[in-house]
Amino acid sequence: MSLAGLAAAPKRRITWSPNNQLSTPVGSSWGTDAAAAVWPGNAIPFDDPGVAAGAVPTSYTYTGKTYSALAAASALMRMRFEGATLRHRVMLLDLLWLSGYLSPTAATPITIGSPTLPARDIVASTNGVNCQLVAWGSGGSNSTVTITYTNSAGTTGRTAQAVVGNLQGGPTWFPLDTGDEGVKSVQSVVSSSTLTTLLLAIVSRVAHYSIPAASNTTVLGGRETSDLHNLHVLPAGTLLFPVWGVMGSNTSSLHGVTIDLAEV
Amino acid sequence: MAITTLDGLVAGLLPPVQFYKVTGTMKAAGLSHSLFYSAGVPGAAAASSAGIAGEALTSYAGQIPFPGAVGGKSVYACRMEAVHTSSLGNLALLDRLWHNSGYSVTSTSSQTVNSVALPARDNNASTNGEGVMVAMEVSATLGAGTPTITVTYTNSDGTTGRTGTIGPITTTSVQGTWYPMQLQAGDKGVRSIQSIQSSATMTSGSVSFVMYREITSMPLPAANFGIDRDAIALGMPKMHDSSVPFLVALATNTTTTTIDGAVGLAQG
Repeated sequence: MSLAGLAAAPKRRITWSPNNQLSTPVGSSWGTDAAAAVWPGNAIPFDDPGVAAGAVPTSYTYTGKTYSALAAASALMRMRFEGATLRHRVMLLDLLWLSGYLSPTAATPITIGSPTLPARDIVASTNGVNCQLVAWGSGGSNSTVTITYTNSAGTTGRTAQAVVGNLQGGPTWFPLDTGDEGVKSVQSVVSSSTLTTLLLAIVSRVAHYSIPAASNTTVLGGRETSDLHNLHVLPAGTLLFPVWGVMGSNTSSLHGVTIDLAEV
Repeated sequence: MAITTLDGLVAGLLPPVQFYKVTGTMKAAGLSHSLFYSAGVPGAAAASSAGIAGEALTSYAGQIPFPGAVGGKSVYACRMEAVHTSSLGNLALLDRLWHNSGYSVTSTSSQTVNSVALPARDNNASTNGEGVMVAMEVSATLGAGTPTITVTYTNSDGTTGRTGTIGPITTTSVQGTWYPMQLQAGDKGVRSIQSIQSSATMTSGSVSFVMYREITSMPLPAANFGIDRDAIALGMPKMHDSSVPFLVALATNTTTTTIDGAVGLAQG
């Protein structure tokens, strides 16, 4: 990949349009704030794969539009979005695994047994190096969720725990067990109380677009980034999904996210 | 081989390595705080049990993941991005070369260290220690005491009997509190540590002494605002093969904070 190669490469654009649905209080994406949240529009943003073990997704439907995995390896060139009081960043996730819709009740473990991840961690392996556990919750009570997983070194019986909100649009991020670098697979999950729906995911964060103070205004405006910060090649099969990082409740709006890719 | 052109940089950029850490309560504004023992991603590191002579590090559970060596290629820090919820003013990316355990926090006698040889990761990829600094890292919350720590070391030129000072230590420093050592006048780094002595007891708890090299750093502005630095802004500092990256932040308050971000590397 060179500058000339990027310039000559076929370009592709992906757009997500949340339809102004964010001008309501938004909860934290850090697992500490279970306030009402609507990004990305639904508390559970993805359809149910239908089995607890989940699946490696190759597409998802959002706001009536189907988003598919990248057909070719692509360099991430640029991102643009419009909004107000966006707070600190927009992140792009690569969805490596989604569980089925789970309905945990207090203290009753659910066996998961997730399949092998696609080879899209940061070293292009299936081991999950630097891959994270996240969850979305809906209905029931805010709950302490404990996940038993295998780490990226292959060690089984590792545990991660976080409070998952019952109406949380942003994903809850799980801190990993001592010394762990990532998550290879999920074996089971248990919740401290009932959650009507719980969706777990293993994700890799492939880009972070910071929003500086000057852009964090209450006036709707466009933002864009075009720089070396996130330029790297996403492998074929990458399934991108944007999330918006908010720390603490906030009133915000986000009207569109557009990324430009160069197939290399 | 090295990256010497923009094309070389573009070709060598790797996927970002993400991190997020929850600091826990920090000790005081103006004191640095190591995120090595903080929960998050990567998971918290366990304190060393290597003993007082320590261990030279080429990997350690809890480090920020680092790419494997590729013949003829070098690794450079090319991006940092972070946001925090409160209480932090600076974020530094360090390479952890050596650390130890077993230092008595109650003794006021000189304690022999005779550190094992460093890995060849100083400024010049040698074991001489140019650019290698020393810090005391609290691995379990300390008890009462405000000693000054004196470190006797050999500098990067091979001169023995040099002395550096750490502190005074703040009483009841919490896990993660990070106290850098001041070098003796004229010194550029530390090759080895011979002994360490406290001027007073720290009563309880435990510490590790760490030899490290600062790779890069960036300021953290107001809470909840993202900030980043690209390859040019960072100056593309070189990171040697088998580096053990970890993070140290400057506390501006004691409040527990979440810091989340990414480190970008290029290999070429």
